[in-house]
Amino acid sequence: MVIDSHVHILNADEAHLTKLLHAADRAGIDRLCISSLSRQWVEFPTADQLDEAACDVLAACERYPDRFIGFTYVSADHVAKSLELLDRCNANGPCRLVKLWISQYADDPRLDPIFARALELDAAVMAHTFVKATGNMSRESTYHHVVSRARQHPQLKIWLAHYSGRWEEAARVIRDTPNVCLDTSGGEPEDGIVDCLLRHIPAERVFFGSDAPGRSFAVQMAKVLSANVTEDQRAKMLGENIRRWLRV
Amino acid sequence: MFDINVKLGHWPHRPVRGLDALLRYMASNDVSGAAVSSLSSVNYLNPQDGNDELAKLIVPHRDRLVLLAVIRPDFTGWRDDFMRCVDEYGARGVVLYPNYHRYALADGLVTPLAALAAQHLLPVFIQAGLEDARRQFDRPIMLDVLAPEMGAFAKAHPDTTVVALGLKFGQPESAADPLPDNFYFDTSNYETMGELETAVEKFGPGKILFGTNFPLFTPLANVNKLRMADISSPDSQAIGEINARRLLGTCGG
Repeated sequence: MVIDSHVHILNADEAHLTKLLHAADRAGIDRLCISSLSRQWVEFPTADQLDEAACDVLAACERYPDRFIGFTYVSADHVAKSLELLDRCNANGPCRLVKLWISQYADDPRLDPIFARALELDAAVMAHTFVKATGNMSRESTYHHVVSRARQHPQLKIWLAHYSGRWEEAARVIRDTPNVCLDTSGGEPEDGIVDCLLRHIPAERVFFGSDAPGRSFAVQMAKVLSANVTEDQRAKMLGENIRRWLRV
Repeated sequence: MFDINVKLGHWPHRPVRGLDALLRYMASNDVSGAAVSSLSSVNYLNPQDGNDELAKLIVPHRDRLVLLAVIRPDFTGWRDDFMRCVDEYGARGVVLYPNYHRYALADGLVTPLAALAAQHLLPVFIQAGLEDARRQFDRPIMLDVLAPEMGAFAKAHPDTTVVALGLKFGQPESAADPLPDNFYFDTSNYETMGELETAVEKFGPGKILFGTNFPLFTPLANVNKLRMADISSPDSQAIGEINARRLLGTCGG
């Protein structure tokens, strides 16, 4: 089973969801882990925007329960709302995952109750990360913030998105923190990314992700398909690893 | 298929694969030909040194690999380099790096080069950028050549075929609207969900060329982009091979 660990929905319109699934079908992707960053993608979402994101993900998951696995988008700026959404979407709804974007560092203490609840729910957390030569956005996490958070909760399942942009170093940073994985989503399809990652961490800690629809399923999957690995390693990265975490 | 955007040579910021890997990728993906330019020439003071190295390297593979000459029109003797590449190396196009070589396409010094290329029926390839700015660590950021500058260049030189390499999704339309008859772009860095379907509808298949940006990108990314695109077989063939061979004046192979 091929599972894309990093997909966004822009809304819950049928035309949008159908287009996403059609493109996934052409790329041979069985299931998509979807998040919404609300319909405006603002850097610091309001509580209402978190709610809007949750509603779109719930609607999509309810319509296509065999294809979509939902993230609940949370924020340190709205802890009460985030906890409410985790109850509604994860504890009592179809969502299995938690999404952190750029409104706080992953080790921000304000997130402590949210991580505690994620642990109770056995919900894996995906944290956006990047290290940018051009300068990060305000409170945009790097791999160091995720490692710092993961060391506080050794039972937490957490992965950093986009291999933090700096793939030459990412696997070295997370190597000694075994509850941290990473996804391959986003950025240009530079040659040798996955081979470089696997020099420092096992394939079990790498998840295929695309960052569609901003990115292409075919292009982003080629990072994994072009790696010099065994079929077993490839299958793990393309879906078995996240499937193990999700228990689907 | 024919890959319009391949480089071979050194890259100072990370290891890159070479000729053997190129030939393996081509053989395993039904890519029968490629237009190859020197990656080393991006950073050599005299890009002709890279052209010379590359020409020697690909001699045994001239049936499959066509040389594109990297020329900087502000470097003394560029005309001699151009002619050597055409006459001795069989070059079928010219590649420009205005950002790396620090000149503007609007500079008058590019005009004689555009005219010479047109006279020899050679396309001029303009590389937008080679690396995501966010990943240019510990050095001055090299900004991309802007699509409107490429569009203006194509309009200013209507007899010269201009191919933009590495444009991103949303950029070709900013080159000019509509695109000039002599303007084309490659697929290498053109990406979003359904990118080729959108491009075919917006620009027509005749404007688009299959290119991988090997060895900086994994070539499979663009192979699969084309293979998985929901476009007609004739459109796919045009993008994958026919357009490139028409522009380069090559056939067979």
